[in-house]
Amino acid sequence: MDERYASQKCWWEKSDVPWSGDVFDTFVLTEDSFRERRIQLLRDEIIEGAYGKRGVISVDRAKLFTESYKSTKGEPVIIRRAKAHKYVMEHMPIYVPPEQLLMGYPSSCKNGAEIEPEYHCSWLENIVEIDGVKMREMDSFPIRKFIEFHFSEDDKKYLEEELIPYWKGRTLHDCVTRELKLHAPEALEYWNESFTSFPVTRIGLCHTIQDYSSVVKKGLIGLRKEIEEQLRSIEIDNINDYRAITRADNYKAMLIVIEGIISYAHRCADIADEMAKSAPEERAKELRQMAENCRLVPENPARTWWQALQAIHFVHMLTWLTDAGVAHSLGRFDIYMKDILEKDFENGLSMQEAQELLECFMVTFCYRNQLVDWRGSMATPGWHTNDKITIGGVDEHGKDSTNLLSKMILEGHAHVHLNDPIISVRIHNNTPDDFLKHVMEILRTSGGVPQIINDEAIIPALMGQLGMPLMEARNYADVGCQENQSDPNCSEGADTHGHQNAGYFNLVKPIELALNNGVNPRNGKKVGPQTGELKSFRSMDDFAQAVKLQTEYAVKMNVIINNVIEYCFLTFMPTPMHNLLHPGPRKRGEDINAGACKYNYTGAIGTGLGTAADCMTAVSHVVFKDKKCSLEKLNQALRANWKGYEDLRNACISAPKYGTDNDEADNWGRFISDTFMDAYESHPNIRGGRYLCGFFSVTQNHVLGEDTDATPDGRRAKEMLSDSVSPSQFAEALGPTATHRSHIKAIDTKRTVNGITFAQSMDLSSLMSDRELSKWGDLIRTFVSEGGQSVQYNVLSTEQLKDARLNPEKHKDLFVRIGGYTARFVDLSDAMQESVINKAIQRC
Amino acid sequence: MNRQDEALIFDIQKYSIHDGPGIRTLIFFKGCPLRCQWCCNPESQRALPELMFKSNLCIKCGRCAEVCPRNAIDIASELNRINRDECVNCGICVSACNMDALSLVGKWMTIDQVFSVILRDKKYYLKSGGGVTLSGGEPLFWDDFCLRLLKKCYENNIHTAVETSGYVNDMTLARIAQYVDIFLYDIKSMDKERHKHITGVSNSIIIDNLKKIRAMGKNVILRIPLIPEKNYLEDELENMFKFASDIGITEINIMPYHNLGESKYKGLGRKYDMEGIEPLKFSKDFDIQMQTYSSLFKKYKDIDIRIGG
Repeated sequence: MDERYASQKCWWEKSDVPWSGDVFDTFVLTEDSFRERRIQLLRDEIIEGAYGKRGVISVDRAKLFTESYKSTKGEPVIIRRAKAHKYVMEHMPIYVPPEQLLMGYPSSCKNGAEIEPEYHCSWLENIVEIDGVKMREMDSFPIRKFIEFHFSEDDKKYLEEELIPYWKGRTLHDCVTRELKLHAPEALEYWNESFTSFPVTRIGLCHTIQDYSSVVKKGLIGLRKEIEEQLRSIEIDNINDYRAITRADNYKAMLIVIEGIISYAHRCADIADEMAKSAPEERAKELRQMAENCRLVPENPARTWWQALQAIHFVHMLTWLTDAGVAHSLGRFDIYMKDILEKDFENGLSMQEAQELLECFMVTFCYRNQLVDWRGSMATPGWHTNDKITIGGVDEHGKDSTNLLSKMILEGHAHVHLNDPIISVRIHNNTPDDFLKHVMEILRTSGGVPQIINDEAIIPALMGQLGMPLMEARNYADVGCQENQSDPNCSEGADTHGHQNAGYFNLVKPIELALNNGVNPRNGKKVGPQTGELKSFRSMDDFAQAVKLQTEYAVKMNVIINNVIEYCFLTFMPTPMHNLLHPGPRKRGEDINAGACKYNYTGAIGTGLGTAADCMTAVSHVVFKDKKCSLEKLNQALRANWKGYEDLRNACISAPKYGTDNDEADNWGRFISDTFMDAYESHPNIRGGRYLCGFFSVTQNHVLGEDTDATPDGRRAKEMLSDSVSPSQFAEALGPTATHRSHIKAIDTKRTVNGITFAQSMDLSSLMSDRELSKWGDLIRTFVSEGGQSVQYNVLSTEQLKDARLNPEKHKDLFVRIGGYTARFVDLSDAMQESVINKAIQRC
Repeated sequence: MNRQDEALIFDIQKYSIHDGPGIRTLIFFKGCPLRCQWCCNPESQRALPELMFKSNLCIKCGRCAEVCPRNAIDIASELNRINRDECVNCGICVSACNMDALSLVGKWMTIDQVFSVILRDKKYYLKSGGGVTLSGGEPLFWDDFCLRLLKKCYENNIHTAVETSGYVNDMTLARIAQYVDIFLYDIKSMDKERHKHITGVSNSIIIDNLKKIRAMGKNVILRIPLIPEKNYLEDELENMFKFASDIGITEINIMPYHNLGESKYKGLGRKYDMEGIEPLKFSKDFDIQMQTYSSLFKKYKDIDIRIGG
């Protein structure tokens, strides 16, 4: 037995999760193997770093990028950006995590967060109030509650005196604001004053599935050859066309980026060789192999599994470092990486080696840190890149495609068990039972991953909404946060740019605006159209019509804003790295932001569906059906934040709620979702595509809730909105069949290409036996055959039980099950609650 | 309206996975002829709506006391908040409470209302081999209602289960049994006297009825609540297993005693007779004790004996 890392413990040995079931018996790596202990060592480095508490702010990338940018004044912007990216890759200090088998790190230091000033940096000087003290965002980093970030005085001075002043007026955010002022002042005003939606202008292009398989199979050398041929044909045949010159610039920019990537890889090779000189023999051997890999890939086609992973890691990680952005997902990894893995098995690669390398690769998804503002840090404790790996599902002929690699990725997730990468499992009507069982057994170890996404709903949605041919639609994959795209790794040339940053749209705000004749009650500003005084609404239909008009106007404003943002991306932030890694831009020589991909849509997101549905149901019931009060009186109660109106609030809370399989509430949910989608889908974007919708919140339901006054469902001002498409806190918990059915009724999932997050809590004690698991499996299978789009099961943890004990009002829907008896947790006596918690702790 | 068109339901639980095969909807009827000392659902015993008070949710605002027409609520008293001698369970205080601390247990529902809830999850039943389980209380206390409800389920291809104490009229049971796919049949003791002592009634009707429905060829899962000091005694399990074996029962669920119902007794203003008796699930030696029965388990190896449902 190899004694390396002998003292290292595996996470599940230190935890009380149920580490049992069929899938665990099939695992290749066990806790006593040095390979798995290496993975746990790599994992601990991340846990102890930013994910636990402390991160470091690095200005290296910002400095290099800015230096280059200053020296390229006057050149075409695509060339300037390509040169800046190349310069960063040529000079960025390289951190090597101890014992890692892959080279390349998206920051210059361990747990570092780089700054991307070209998108937005003046926010660092924005003033926030924390515990009554006003301070600049950048001064809040070291005292943050969840993740503190530290930086040196020199670096801080550099930010204040050089970086922020230089980029003033030049960032994407500044460009968007300027262009909106110029072209769409009304929309800008609406954006600032309505609190309806928050499009993102802070980070780079997000939500991609890049063409990794070409990098693995052809190498950058192969791509370079294709690009050079294109360039030559332009120079010979087409130089008489102004568009041809733009195309030539785009191709030149791709070639510049290729040089940068290769230079970074070769520097990694040199560092690995250098480290090998002083390393113990076993590690030195690894380092020499790593150096050899880095000299070979991604420049050349990968010959081994190790090299293939190294090649993908390079381009994936360097996308973070150059173009930044998040949710750069891997697509159907278990499909397009299967061949090279099998070939390497034939050449003598062992299962253990293959699994260890895969897990080394999965750990790298957490190497990225990003600075977020104070508000964002409160809403999202812990940074997510949301970069996903999709496994399972049907192949392009409709047959099940799960294979050995799908299983290896499940094992990898069980072992690595970090925020990223998120594993999405595609389920369809013929998914094998044992595979579904393995997924459930891993879900049982907590954390809500893998997520389940449904082929039976998503494939028809892509065909109907994007005109995708069946075989391409069958190769779809999930992109973080929750969007669905074609996968160019599996369907040749089928790339997607879904610009899914159109913002989290507050579905409750139009109701608030309709109640106030277009005035946002949070700031008293008139923002929306005048849809009528409350006394003019004679029926629920009248009121619903006003909500519809407010929604349509808000969507129209948001579309204008987003179109300007996309115009700014195209004009000021073309993306040579993504152009290189997407087949469409490579083929056409156009920027990804110009519509060069095969599929172009802009993804819009509705947040707070449950709260919005409940608001409509409560107005319908309390005002128009039961006539308990007038609409004016209800609105007075809302303005008073229900103070003095407790009885009315009670009546509103007693109205039917979404999530309880109540047709009336679910129909109002459907009204809200259809109105939202009708409004968005009627608008084209600037890339020849149109707007398509999804429903989720990540954690924006907290942020948007802060901006929303008391609402007719009984919610008080500033409280969070309902999460994603889950029921609100007021909905009686009737168990998963009720929530599953409500979700399917309230949303037309054949339209929601931009994705749905549907989170469902499950009680661990009901999932322990095989019989219980198989019933859970039947729940999932019914949901799938009924057309639900996606579901994420949170198996309840002890922490939640403890919180429920302290805050019973927040956990009215928490059920526990012991020995053939189900009880609402808050109804139990103190002593009982304690014993339930103790049982949860001792479960293993 | 004929009362048998309506029954008093105190809870409906969906995605129930421990009370019969597959995914089920559980209908809890209120009213039971037995008074088992350990009953974990005391609110199921009386066939009338009852006021339940949850002190942990109460903020002592006093609104309930203000509206009570019989002055039955004493907001100053912690232990005897509701004077049960005066309370007529009218529920006026429930609508005055904004904190959910007061509730009326038991709701009159029609057959159609109950059936429409059952029907909603039909696709989940079909996929999982589940269906509906009538439970309680004693569901067959509402014999005519149950008969018509079960017939309706039967006609709509919904698998039916009835969890019963067996303490019902044998003619009624026979009529109802034709629409029941499986019985979850409780047995508390084989000893007549002991049964009477711990449940308030004799077991002779119960045992006769069980024999009868077995003779009809009905599927039965025998459920044995295992209660310390009451029936957790050496001879009981042996006698019950033997009886089960004699009448050809193939599955037994042993339900170890727990005290999760204790707070409900307080909420209903009743005394909990089992106070101080440790729940079996939580006592460390429970598993060891069960092992002492291993020879017994082996002897009846044709019966699938499970702990819990």
